[in-house]
Amino acid sequence: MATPDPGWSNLVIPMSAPLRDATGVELLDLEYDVACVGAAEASAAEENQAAFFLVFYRLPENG
Amino acid sequence: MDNTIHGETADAHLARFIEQVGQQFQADAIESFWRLQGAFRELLDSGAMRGLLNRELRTLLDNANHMGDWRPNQLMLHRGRGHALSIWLFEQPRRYIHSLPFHGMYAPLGGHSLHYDLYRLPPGYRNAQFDPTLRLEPAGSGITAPGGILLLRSDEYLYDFKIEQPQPVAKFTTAPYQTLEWLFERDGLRACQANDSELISTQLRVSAYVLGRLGNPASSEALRSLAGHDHHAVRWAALQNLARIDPAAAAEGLHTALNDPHPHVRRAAAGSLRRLETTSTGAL
Repeated sequence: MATPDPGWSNLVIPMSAPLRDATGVELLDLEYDVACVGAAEASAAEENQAAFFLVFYRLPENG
Repeated sequence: MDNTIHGETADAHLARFIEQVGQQFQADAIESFWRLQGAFRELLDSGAMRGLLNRELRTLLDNANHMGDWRPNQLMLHRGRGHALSIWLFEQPRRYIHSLPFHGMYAPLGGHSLHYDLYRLPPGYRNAQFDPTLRLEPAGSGITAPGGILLLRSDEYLYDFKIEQPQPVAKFTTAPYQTLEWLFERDGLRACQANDSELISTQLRVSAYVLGRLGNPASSEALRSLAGHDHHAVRWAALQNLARIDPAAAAEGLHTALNDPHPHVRRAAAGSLRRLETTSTGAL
């Protein structure tokens, strides 16, 4: 199985960002990546996503 | 344009439908969604879908500044707590066969039937635990004729719609109740990918990634909090990025993750601890 592109591999961090703490360590990845909403092609979830996204943020009682 | 239908406006029919949803549907009791078939039927039979769409098209025609509530290929008619109603245009077949993270009721509009192939979710399927060894099981084909309602039981089946011409569909759905949306290959029907079913999960994982790359110690608290999220991939992304900026806090999180409810997180935590114990940099 091809590992899905997690969707943010082209993310650019601004050059003004502080350098990473040199003491940091790397953990393993999960055995199967979870891809972003809509990765590979528009997803069934994505069809409704905008609707529920707006509900979530516009109407606090719908949280 | 006159939107009057049987003495009532399309808005009045929609308002009655919304009222029935409010009375019968509980967003935290997903099975209550199926009680609403009668209300959806009543709305469809009223002609309100046609009236609402016509009015929207008329408004677009008359007012160049009108944006409406359009999404790609669909017009949103109503959003409520845990549910949404829209008119959707099926236009293109998909490359993959998708599981649905929500329950739904679809009704073809216009004169064409809705054709689909049906697949049963395989034994051993657990939505939140992606497994590429699982395959779909064909379960026949179906047709929903104009006037009919297709009930999409997403906890049992996948629906692969055959699209021979643009097909408008009235679509009444719950919000996503499953963590992931699985994609299956058409050749071999094998699971090939799992996507987040909610945008917020993707956003939180991206946020954790960014915080880890920025490396500001002040992010430690936020990442520790995120390590308790419901979504297993969000929890792990938080731990991975916490390890980049606060190894001591990550060590505590890794030991906690050995008892995580999700097996993939437990295995990643155990593997990471083993690896870190054998490396000079991993003084956890």
